[in-house]
Amino acid sequence: MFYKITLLIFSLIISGIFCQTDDEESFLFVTKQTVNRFIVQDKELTIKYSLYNSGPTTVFNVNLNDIHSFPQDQFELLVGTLNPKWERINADTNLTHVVVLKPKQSGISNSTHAVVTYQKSEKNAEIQKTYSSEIGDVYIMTSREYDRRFSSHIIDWILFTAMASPCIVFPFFLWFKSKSKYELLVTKEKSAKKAQ
Amino acid sequence: MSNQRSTSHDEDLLLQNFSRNVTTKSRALFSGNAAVVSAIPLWLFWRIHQMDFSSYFIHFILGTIASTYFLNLAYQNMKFILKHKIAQKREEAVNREISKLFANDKNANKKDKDDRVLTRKNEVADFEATTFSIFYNNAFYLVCLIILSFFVFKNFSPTVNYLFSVVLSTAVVFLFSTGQK
Repeated sequence: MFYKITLLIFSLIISGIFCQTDDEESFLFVTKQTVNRFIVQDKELTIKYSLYNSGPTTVFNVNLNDIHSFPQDQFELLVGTLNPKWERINADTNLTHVVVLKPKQSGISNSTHAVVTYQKSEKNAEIQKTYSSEIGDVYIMTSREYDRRFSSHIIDWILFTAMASPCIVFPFFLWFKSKSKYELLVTKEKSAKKAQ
Repeated sequence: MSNQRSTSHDEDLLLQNFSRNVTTKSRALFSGNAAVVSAIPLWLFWRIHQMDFSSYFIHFILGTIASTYFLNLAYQNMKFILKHKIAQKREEAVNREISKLFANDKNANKKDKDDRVLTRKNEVADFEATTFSIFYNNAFYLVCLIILSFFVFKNFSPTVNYLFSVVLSTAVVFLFSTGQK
């Protein structure tokens, strides 16, 4: 009796372990973020996708698709691809993908999730779909506004100083010359009188 | 006859001395300076605030005309106030200058000398008051405009920035010129 109960408990434990092993899966966590501090029309915009395989097993045929977030008429693709593919991502591994774009238009732009599909095992052809985080609404400022706020304008200030100086220096010089001449006349006479 | 002529000449001198009216030459000088000083900041607004002339030309024209007009008035006000102060200060120096000129001329009488001193004093006071007024008002206007446009109204839209900077700096310069005793 005692022997039968022990065998039953032992088989339950073993089956429980095997069940756990069959149900262990890996999940991909995908984040999407912009590296830029400011997003400016006709200037480079860098998007970074980070994929993290959180589980104990490798995932296969990973495919990231973000073409719908950055349509061709609004964004020009400079570096990288918006539809990369990887054969595998090992367990507990990070993977980063960077894309450089150039916004063609200014204003508010909404960037939604990227779609990532992958296979959990090599033999199992079932596709798992997951979504990245989203950037949401971003304001793309015009290059004129960016220049206005951040450009140094040293040359412009130098030229302005060169243009404005004659208007100030020349009248001052004329006044000072006349003032000095007449004050000198008075002080000369005073010192001559004192000497006498 | 000569008395009448000399009296009217004295009166002219007095009128010239105490009148607020400026001569045509002064008026042209003031207007020209005011126009130039009002136009120079447009360069800053175009290059730094990125306000292109095609979009903002109405603002620029109105702002420039208004600031030219009030700068002109500021020049005249300040010149009138300064002229008397400077005339008093320069009286002694001009006396000495004319005395030196007349030292060798025995035929000159006291009346001619006094007339000459008065005229010369008027000229010197006019010249110094004009140049100082132009220098001071220009410097004050440009400094006010730069402070208002690049520090106070820095984060406002370009239109608001331009209008407020120009209007306020013009008003400050004009009011300051009327306020001095």
